[in-house]
Amino acid sequence: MKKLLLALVAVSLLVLGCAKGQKAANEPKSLVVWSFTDEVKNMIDKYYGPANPDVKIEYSLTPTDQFPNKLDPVLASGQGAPDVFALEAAFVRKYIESGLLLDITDVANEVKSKMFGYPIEVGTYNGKVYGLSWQVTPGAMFYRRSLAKKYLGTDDPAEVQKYFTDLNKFLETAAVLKDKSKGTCVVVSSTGDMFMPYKGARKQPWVVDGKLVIDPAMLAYMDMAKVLKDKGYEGRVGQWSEGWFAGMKGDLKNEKGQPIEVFSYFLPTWGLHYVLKTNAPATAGDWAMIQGPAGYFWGGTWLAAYKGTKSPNLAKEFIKYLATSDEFLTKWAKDTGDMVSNKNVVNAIKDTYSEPFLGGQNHYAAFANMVSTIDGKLIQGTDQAIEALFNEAVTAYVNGEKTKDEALAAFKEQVKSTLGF
Amino acid sequence: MKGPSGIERKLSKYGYIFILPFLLTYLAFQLWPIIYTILLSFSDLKGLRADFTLIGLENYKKLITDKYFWEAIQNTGIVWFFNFVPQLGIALLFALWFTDDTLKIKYKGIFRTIFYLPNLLSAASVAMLYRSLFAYPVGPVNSFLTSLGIWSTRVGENGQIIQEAFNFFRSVPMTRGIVSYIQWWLWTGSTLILLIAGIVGISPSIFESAMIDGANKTQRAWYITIPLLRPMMLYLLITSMIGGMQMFEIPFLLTDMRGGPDYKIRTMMVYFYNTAFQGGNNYAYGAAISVGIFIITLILAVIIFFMMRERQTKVTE
Repeated sequence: MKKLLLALVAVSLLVLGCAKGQKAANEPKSLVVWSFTDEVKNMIDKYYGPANPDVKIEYSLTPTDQFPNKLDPVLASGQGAPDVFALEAAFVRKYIESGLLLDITDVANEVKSKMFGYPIEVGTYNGKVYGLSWQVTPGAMFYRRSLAKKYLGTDDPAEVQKYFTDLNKFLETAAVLKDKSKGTCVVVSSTGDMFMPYKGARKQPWVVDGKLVIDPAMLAYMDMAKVLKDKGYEGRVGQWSEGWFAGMKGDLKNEKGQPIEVFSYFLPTWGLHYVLKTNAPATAGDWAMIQGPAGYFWGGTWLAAYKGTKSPNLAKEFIKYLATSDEFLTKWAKDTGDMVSNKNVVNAIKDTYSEPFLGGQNHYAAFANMVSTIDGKLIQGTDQAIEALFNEAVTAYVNGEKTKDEALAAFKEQVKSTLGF
Repeated sequence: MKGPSGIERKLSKYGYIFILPFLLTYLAFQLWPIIYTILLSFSDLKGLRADFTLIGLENYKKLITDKYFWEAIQNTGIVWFFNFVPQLGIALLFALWFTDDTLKIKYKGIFRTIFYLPNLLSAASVAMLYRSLFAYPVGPVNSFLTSLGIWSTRVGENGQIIQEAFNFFRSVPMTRGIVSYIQWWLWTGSTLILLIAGIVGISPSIFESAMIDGANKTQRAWYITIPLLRPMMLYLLITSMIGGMQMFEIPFLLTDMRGGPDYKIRTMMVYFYNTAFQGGNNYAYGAAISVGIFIITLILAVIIFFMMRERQTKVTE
């Protein structure tokens, strides 16, 4: 009996071993894909799936705030890790720098010439590419046409841009808006709105050679926020708060019941479709977009693969299709209005748009012009954590709780203590 | 004493079998994580890695000199104290009223339920609720205060005085007060029920004899109910203290997830979470922080335990 059992085990082991050997030579035609929105799911269901019927995709969705917590342990241990996963701009660099992702430099080199530069820069670490994105998310300044006409005398984007060419001019115009409106019109609703443009104006990343560097642009942001607050050029609400959304609808009021007119919002591509359009339908047609004082990008989703995947070639093909394919991205851009990262596609379709929400302005062409100024090399894995600490320092300074030096000293100490820089 | 007989020994085998599921679950999901945490606190596990090397006492050396850790203990202590003292006081007052038959309070059950209800809400929704209640510059509490003519004032740049709404979450005492209040609001109901149970458990004959001796209501409460409730109150103190040490959701979600303003609402658990799961993912130092919290809790619990024992021997004398 025992001998029989032993023989059985031996045979089954042999069969299993053979099966495994075969698989290694001919990788499985299946991928496990993780993401945090249903965008990637739509891409798979409607485009990739029908085009590649022989590939089996197992898709799993985890909300953004829990996504890193779910991904970290499986990537670190390699057990139950997905083959391909989506990474959000806020945390993409943490993974790009981790050494746990599949090197996809060959795919990137193949498509480099037709792609916008900064998403590849964000996906690059030590000269190797680990992540690619199907979209670009340049940021713009969206303003209310009616307010521009009332206080600046024009609502033509080219003319309005002249009032906001740089950050000093921005402050001058903020003063004009306040004076002409007798105090009701603020240039932005929240000092936080200014963070992304200033972040885009930096020349250095937060961490250089393991040391914290506070770029002059970040110090300028502190000053700007203080001026906006002290002079009453901002609406005193927090980003993403009720008041912030009320400003978009044009019904923000202060605590005394007086109306506050919010002139502009700094938002990227997705901000137009998912923030402005959805929250301010009543003001549709009264908006227009310009570059504003500085070029920047905000958000975006990258695709990367786990380096221990059993199907590296299939994973590469998958990423290449979703992030770069002319054919797919043309369809995707036409169906969703997403600003894609493929220059050929953007150039072919950009002149066909006219956005009723922006009073007929061609947002696609406008965004396309903003991509070239973006620097993707300044993004690092620890940005999110550092910026959260920095914002506390800025708020303390702006509210007069601390002097600028005290706030900066506290910020440096916190960074040193919690992050070790 | 005689050893167990054969039949007892045979039966006791089933005892072990019956506790086996619990024991295995406990070993795998309770004891092992604790041991592993202690192990990690001596390591250098950080970021996206699974392998680590043991580096001895480095993390603890850092912990002892880490002023933010001690500040977090202080923050936790302050917020907990201003939650626990009113909690015990008010729950005791209500417990005395509810157990006093001469007061003839109607609908006691409904009141008890109402007091207990906040405890059933999830901390996340409570935090969001209070965030919007105390919103700035326009929110329900601010609207109420301004309608009464209560304003926060600041001096503008031209020297004129500007009246504004209160920015509650930028004021350390206000934010601490709100966190303490929420904790109080959440836990008073359950403290109340335990105190009522404690009072009902006191033998009525003691009250009766005191009444015959001519003790009035205040004297009965002061000299009988409260001294005899001491074990229950000490139990509440210990459980509340352990719970307070682990205070996390409300300070985390009510603030900017980092215990602002000025990190003065950063409780020990928030600091632990910030260290281990946000930004640097410094699991090793996070583990050292949690072992630190564990040791402090242990010391406080032991102190209270000895206090309780001393009292009890005095009572039995």
